[in-house]
Amino acid sequence: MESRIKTLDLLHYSDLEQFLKNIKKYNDFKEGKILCKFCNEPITLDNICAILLRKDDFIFLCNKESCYTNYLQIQSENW
Amino acid sequence: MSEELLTIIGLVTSWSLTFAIISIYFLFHPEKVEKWFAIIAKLFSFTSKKVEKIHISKDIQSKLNIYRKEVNKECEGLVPSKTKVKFLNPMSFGEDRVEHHEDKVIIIMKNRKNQDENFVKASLFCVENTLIPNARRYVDPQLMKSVDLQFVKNLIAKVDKAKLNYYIDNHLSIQLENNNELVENINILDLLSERGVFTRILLKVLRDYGLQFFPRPSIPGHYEEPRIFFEKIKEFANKKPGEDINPTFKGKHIKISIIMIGRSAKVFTEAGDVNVSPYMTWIFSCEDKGINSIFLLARDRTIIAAQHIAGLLDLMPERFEMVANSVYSVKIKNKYSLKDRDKKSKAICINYIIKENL
Repeated sequence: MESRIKTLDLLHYSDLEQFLKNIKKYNDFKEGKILCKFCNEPITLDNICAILLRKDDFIFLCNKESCYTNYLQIQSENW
Repeated sequence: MSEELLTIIGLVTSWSLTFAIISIYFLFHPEKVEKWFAIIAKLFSFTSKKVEKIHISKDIQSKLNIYRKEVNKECEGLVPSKTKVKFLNPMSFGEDRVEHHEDKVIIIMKNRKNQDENFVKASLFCVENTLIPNARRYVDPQLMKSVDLQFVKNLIAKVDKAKLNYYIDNHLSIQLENNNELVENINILDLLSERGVFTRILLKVLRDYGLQFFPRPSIPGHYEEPRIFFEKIKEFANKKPGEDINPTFKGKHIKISIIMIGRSAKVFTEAGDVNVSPYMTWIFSCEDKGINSIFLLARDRTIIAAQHIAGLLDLMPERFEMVANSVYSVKIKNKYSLKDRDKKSKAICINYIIKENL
């Protein structure tokens, strides 16, 4: 059987600041202007769960279970 | 040749042989190497961020791949892809970098002290990409979500039981809150998992169902049949000993019969011989009814009857083909006996396809 490889990309908490600076989002992040795609709550160091790269955009996801559920819903619609 | 020289040659040979055996073992089980790598990195993870990242990523990667191997033994191709877990270098990202044009999910990991949370989060994101990837789009999203949640639960219970409480308290129970359908589904999937048929029957059927449509886009009409099939599966999960239920499901695409070999009294004659003729009659009737897949399930003493039936079907290779055969142990809950409350039992699941109806 064909054995493909799927990559799971991780970003360490301590690299988040540098990452946000590189994508020019750090100031927005500090000012609380980056919002969770699903609940519109400001993304913080305490509640950030994942970052989705979609085309040229960055979508932020907070750690609420309801947001994870909504994320799954979006994923299934994209299949 | 002196005795000392022979002793040295003997020692070198035995060491080389041991080294060769270990190397071959690791060559065929790379996930075990990763596991050891993760354990060693854990010991030194306080020394630097780099070592901590190695521990976090290898710990997750080895466990996901160990479970993938287990599950694919139960039913081939349920998780076709291996998982590679890697930390991104934040410096490789910039507004002008090509990586931005590639869709991906980046999961934020906390430090090593939060490895329970890291592992659960990574498992959830991994499963939605790797479990029956070509079929999941054709399954009702609510059912698929239940399957994913149960799969992650089984994964954690198998490879890292210590993290199970974290998963249940911080993720599963929150998902189940105010969602009665999900609660009912998970209860059923729990029963199926205990009986060893969550992967061997349910996921196999869903995988085969999806493969009939792949790679076409999914439409809501695809969701109906797996949903009705799941209702049928509930009958099996809730079946009481001695209760008879119709073992066949015949939909437009899912056409299966689950044959549970009954109590010993039904299968063995007074002389102790195996009597499988009622089961064979049923299997032949399945052939006439257009069923294309049969599952033989048996436990303990009746395993011999299932194997006997398999032997008879193997004599008709132009009509029946065995596609899976696994012996496993199941935990049988006996509420009437304190002694046998969680008795372990040996079970078998054999899957045949009926060639004429494919």
